[in-house]
Amino acid sequence: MWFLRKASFLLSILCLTACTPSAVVVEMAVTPATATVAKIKQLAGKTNAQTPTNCQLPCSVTVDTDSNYEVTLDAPGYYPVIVQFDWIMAYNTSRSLDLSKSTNGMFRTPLIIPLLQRKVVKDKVVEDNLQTPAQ
Amino acid sequence: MENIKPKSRIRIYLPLIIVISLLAYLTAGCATIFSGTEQDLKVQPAGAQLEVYSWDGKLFASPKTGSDSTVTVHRPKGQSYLIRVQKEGFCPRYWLTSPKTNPVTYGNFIIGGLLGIIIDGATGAGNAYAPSEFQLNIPETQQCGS
Repeated sequence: MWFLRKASFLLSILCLTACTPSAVVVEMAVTPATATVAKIKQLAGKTNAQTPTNCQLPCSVTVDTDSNYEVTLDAPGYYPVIVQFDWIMAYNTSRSLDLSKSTNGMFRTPLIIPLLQRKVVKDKVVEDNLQTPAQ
Repeated sequence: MENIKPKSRIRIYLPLIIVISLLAYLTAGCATIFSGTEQDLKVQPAGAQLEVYSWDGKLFASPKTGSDSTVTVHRPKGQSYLIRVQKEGFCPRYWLTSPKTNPVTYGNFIIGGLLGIIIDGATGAGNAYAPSEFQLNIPETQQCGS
């Protein structure tokens, strides 16, 4: 009996360590590579000290199991991007992309966002001045 | 075999044929059969362009067909995707989807079995995009956030 008790205790410890979900590091970047500022807003969960509130891309967001983030990207000449993600999204993607754990034991995943270039809008005032004959 | 009457032959082979047909049906996977490997996504306004990217920046799916407000794309593979929707005159928008199970794949618990679940997972038919409706609601005249 003592053997069974010890075995079940060891199994519980093993399961607790192996089954406890860990945080996921989301490595954000944009394409085409351009100077982009990310504003990171935590919508739910505990505040993670490793996650900045503002950063220049590429930068990382550490997503804990119960946390949810909104990221706003602003790059001159491109349309802004607002996306929201949580731990389940990051964890499943990390597992699907089959990436190895980072050195500190956390899963990691890239998040590469394709930016869309703004159309060049002609200066309407200048155009109007050119069309109006001089009086 | 030569002494067996034709009626008896049918009796021998009929169960075998039924078993083979049943196996072929069951191994295909419920969602693969009933809902296919493609999903219809709704976009507003009509004619908006939708692209699906994986998180590593690769284009995963572009619409195969584009009608007024529905686009058909390949089903996801159990992970989150980045969806970008754009249309002339509107500010483009981005969504990150949640991994969701196609409800049809639950039918495997009744008739498809483990093999059906595996096949649905491999073909992508067992997964679905969530959300499945995407709307562009800010006109470009509002400068799109800047």
